[in-house]
Amino acid sequence: MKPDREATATPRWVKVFGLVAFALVVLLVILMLIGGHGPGRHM
Amino acid sequence: MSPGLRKLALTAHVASSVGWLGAVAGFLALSIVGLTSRDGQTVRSVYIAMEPAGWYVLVPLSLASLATGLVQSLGTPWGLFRHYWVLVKLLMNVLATVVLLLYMQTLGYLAGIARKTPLDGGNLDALRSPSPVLHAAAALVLLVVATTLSVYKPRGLTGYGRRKQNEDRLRPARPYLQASRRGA
Repeated sequence: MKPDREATATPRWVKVFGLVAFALVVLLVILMLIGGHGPGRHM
Repeated sequence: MSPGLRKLALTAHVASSVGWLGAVAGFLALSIVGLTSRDGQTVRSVYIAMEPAGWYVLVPLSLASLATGLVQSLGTPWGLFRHYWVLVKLLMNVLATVVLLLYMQTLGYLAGIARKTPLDGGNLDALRSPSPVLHAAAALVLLVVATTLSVYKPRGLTGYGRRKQNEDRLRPARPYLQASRRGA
């Protein structure tokens, strides 16, 4: 018997959240590398 | 958890989480005034007020939201890692709390500058920072998304959740249930 694909697949909304989170992490890393972000920026 | 305790825990979680959202909205308003006001005394007051508002309102509400969320998920059949929406909310809550605690350094620094610096002309511009506006706006978006997830509870079991669900299905029924099925 084949497993129910709909029941085992990762929901689309989770994939969208994952992509958005990944894009934000990449953006933050870039900002921190160029010194434009982070807790020490104002000190 | 008993039904009464469960409702009490849910009330505490909703109150702290929605209270956090409201406090962030108020903080966003303060930070916009700090960035745009032309009155030096107002700008100084805003940056000084942001630090205690952070320590005495935002930080306690964020920690309360996280703690009551953990109690709510671990004390009910929802679990902490079974459903994607619970897991995503947990990650968002932890992220927001950590960023807030780190950002308190910046707010302390800005409040210190506001206390010491005579605010005329150029000094006023040096104090103005878009950073609190950007952080408060991002926090507001994140908390609105978290609230939406709580209300809609979108479907989706994690791998762990599916395994647990299968285990529960295969587990034999409790003796008193079997007895009641036999008509005892």
